[in-house]
Amino acid sequence: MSDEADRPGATETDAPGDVPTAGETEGEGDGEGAAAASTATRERRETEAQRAYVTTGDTTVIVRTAARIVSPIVLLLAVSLTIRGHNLPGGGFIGGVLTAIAVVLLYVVFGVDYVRDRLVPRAERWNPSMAMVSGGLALALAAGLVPVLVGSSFLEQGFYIAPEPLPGPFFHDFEVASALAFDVGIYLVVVGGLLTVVREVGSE
Amino acid sequence: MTAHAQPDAALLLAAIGLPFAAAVLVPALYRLVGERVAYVGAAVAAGSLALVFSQFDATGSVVVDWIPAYGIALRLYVDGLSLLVALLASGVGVLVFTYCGGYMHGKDAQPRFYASLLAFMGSMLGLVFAADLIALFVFWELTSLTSFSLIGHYSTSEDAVYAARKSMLITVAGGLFLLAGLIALYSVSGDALGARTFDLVAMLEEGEAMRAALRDRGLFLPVLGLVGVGAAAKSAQVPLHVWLPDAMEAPTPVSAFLHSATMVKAGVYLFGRMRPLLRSPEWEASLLALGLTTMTVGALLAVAADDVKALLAYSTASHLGLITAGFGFQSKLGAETGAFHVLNHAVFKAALFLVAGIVAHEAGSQLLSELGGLRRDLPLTAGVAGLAAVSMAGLPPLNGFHSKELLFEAAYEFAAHDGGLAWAVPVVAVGASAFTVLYSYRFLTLFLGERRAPHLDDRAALEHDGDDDGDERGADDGHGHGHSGGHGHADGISRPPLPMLVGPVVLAVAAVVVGLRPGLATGGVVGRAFEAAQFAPGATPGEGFSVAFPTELKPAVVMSAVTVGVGAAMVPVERRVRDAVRAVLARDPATADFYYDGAVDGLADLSGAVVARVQTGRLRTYATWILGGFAVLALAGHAAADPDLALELGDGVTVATVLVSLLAVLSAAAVVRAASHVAGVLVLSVVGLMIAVFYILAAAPDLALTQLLVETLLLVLFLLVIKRLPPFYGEIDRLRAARDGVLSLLVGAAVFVTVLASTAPTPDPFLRRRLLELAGFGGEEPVGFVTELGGGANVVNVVLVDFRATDTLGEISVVAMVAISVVTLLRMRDVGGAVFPADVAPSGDGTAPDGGRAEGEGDDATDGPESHDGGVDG
Repeated sequence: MSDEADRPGATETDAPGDVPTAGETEGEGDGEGAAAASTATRERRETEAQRAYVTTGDTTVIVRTAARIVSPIVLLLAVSLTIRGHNLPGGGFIGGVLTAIAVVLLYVVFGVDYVRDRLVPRAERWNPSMAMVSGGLALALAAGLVPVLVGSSFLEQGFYIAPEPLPGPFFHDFEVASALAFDVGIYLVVVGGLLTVVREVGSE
Repeated sequence: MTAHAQPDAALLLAAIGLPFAAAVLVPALYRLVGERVAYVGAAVAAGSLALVFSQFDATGSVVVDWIPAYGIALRLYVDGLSLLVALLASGVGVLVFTYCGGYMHGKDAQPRFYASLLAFMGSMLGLVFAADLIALFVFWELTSLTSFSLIGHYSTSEDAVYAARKSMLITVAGGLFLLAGLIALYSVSGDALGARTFDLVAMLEEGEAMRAALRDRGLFLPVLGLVGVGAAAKSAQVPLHVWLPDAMEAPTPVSAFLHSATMVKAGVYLFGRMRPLLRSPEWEASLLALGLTTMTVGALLAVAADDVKALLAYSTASHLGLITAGFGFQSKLGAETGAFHVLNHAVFKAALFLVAGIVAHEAGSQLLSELGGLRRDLPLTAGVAGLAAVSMAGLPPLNGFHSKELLFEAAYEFAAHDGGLAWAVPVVAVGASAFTVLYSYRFLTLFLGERRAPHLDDRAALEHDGDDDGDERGADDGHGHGHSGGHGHADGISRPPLPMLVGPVVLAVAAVVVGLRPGLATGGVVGRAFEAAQFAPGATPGEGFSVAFPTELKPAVVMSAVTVGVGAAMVPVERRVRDAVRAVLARDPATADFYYDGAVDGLADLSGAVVARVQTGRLRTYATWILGGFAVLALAGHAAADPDLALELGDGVTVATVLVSLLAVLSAAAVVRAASHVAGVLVLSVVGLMIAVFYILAAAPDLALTQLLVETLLLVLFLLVIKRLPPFYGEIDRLRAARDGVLSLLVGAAVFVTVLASTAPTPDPFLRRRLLELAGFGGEEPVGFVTELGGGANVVNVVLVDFRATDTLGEISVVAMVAISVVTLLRMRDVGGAVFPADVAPSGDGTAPDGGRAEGEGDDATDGPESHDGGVDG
């Protein structure tokens, strides 16, 4: 309803793919509008336009263009930090926070709903950040339990360094550490946890 | 019984684990077989019974590792006492599950009911076999938890909820006392046994040394008190008995099972178990006082009760008092009393509860004032009730007589030996037993005298109450065809179905058999239970004891005669006795409930007052309390620990670090002076960046990375909310500024001292080398799959994911919990009672079109109190 007027035309021209999801964005805005109206007596009440800033991404072309270029690079860096963590500064925690930053940047620039609709397939069916939390926790637990199954102790990690010379494209040391699975678990929990909190609090 | 075969760990574990496994499967089974899951439960109980029975000849302990790093094991100990209670728990379990097959017909939430009942039985079996202090405590609390669920089974009834909470509060609080006592025992065991251990058997073997060590440390009386309170809360000793009568809100089979045969027996079991360890004059004095008081008060309350189940509940408390008193005596006779009455009481009291359930089920009431003369309607039930009540009264030739005789003998010997005030003990025992005779008679008035029952008075009740059940049962289930719809049906009282009769009849027969041939019990498991309560493990003579009907005039026989005489004399004036007790109870301060309710209400009020002050809904208030609490606690902790402080400057101080630190301090000052949010946040991130630079200078790249990323994240988050904040700070009054200033000084001091204290112990240079070695560097390059080493050059990460991976697992669990809590709090805050007025906003109610999201409702709750807005940048 009232939200319709605030939906900036810029979003539609800039992101044509947005059209199918318009209904949903409106729906959310509607609910918010209704709730806001019912507490009209509150002093610090934002205008609809201010609220739309967070939900629909009413930002400048410069910021949007920059975010489009920067966020993939940041995401790539995050993944590399996670993977190399065993031997160089990095790891699941750091990679997870960096990934969350990249996504939150997208939230700020494009709006929470837009990002979810574009990045998550069938977003109405599930909650990807909570899935990451539970999946990550399950993975970390599994990383602890697998050693128990093979007779080692809980969370005992191992690694494998292939003897040289290596075939194919590998050269020098080639190491596979089972700790990577645990690290990926940490990564998923951190990303999922941070994004859940940001999304829930941000949609307030 | 003289055999000393070692118990079999696998079979014992199976006996304990079987009910738990079945409890997990019950919901699925219920879908398959419906209400007949009761008989599955009975089969499981029978299985456990058989498994326990297979260990009948065994004595000794077996150890199954549990947490070897802390010396905690699932140590299972088999002796007479554990066998006795385990056989009771599983044996009465079989009967009770069978009974449930009739009683629970058509009731709600049966899967939960049977799952809880099975889990309870497993906990009870675990408890009696556990000989490790920690395992004992875990099973102890498990019985409280499962019993909470069972008492509160009718969860829509206010009374049931009240009763469940009451029993939970009292028994779990008692459990905490027990835990403290057990920890004290653990700490003392080092003095007595050479090394600290949780092994209860080792402590029992060295009872003398343990007592001496406890006395040396001045811990004997505290341990006695702590263990005593724990056991007394569980076994409903005065004044902690208040939960037991309320617990009668549970379905009757639960009352019969938990509140006669098993759970309350856990308390007296503990007295018996600890007896060889703590037996002393203090033990005797305190347990006699406790037990005899409970015996008397319980008997008086039972006389005054009108509800049949309440009568039985108070009577249970009274008989548990008898057992406690028995275990209290230091003499052999005392242990004989306790061990024998554990069995006898379980047998007749379970029978009586089941009878009460039949009466309530078929006659539609459980009030003594409404019922009478049911002997012709329920002849078999009446017969069972007669035998069980006579046994409860302690009349020959039933089993209750023998254990009461033992108590009288023990009391007389005690008095004759000590003289003087000790004569009060036999007098009180006789007095309490006389009232027992009186309330046993009152119970029998259900079946004696004029025929009265609501179902007889009120034909309308026939149409839709208990009798309806009776018909359906006959038609649907095929159980008890021969009994339901019998001749009593026309009068409104049908006979109970067969499953409900099996239990009481078996128990009554057992009461008669044990009464006529006490040697079967005392020479068998009861005899071994007596030995377990009397002697240290391994020192038992293995002969049990024997009782017989008296053939000459002993003091105990005279006491029995007096008991019966006085009890019988009171029967004609029963109404006056009852009124007198009720008159006393009418005064609030005379009831323990008065204090319980006062304490609970007082705590609730206190909590409300604290919440109103602490949880104002303003971020500022939360921050003040949290930060203040942290600072005060940390400083107090440091003051108490008096740690070394790193007062000299370390090697790492260079010009660069000093400059960076100075810049950080300057920026921090600038934050305070900042006029707007934007300026404040930007300057604040300068502080963060300076700290990151400091980490880099201190050669901690991982820390620096993390610090930078967190700073970035905070900044981005700030962008999310920047529009919703006022552009400039308002003025705050001086008082508040002063308070905030003091708070920041406190927090600063706490952090400062913490840093000094935690950096004082410079780590061994060897530690760094050792970590590197463990990580797999510095030595020879390993080849192949290696698990001893970490295999990473980044020691920080290797510590996180390998050396201390369990800590990390804990941390990410916390992250997950935070995420779940945030979702729950924000989305569900309109569900249930709204705390803040702003939340009362109608959520959804048709105005919010469902935007394809299942949780659309949650997002409608946009207008939280201001604290939520502020919470974002916190």
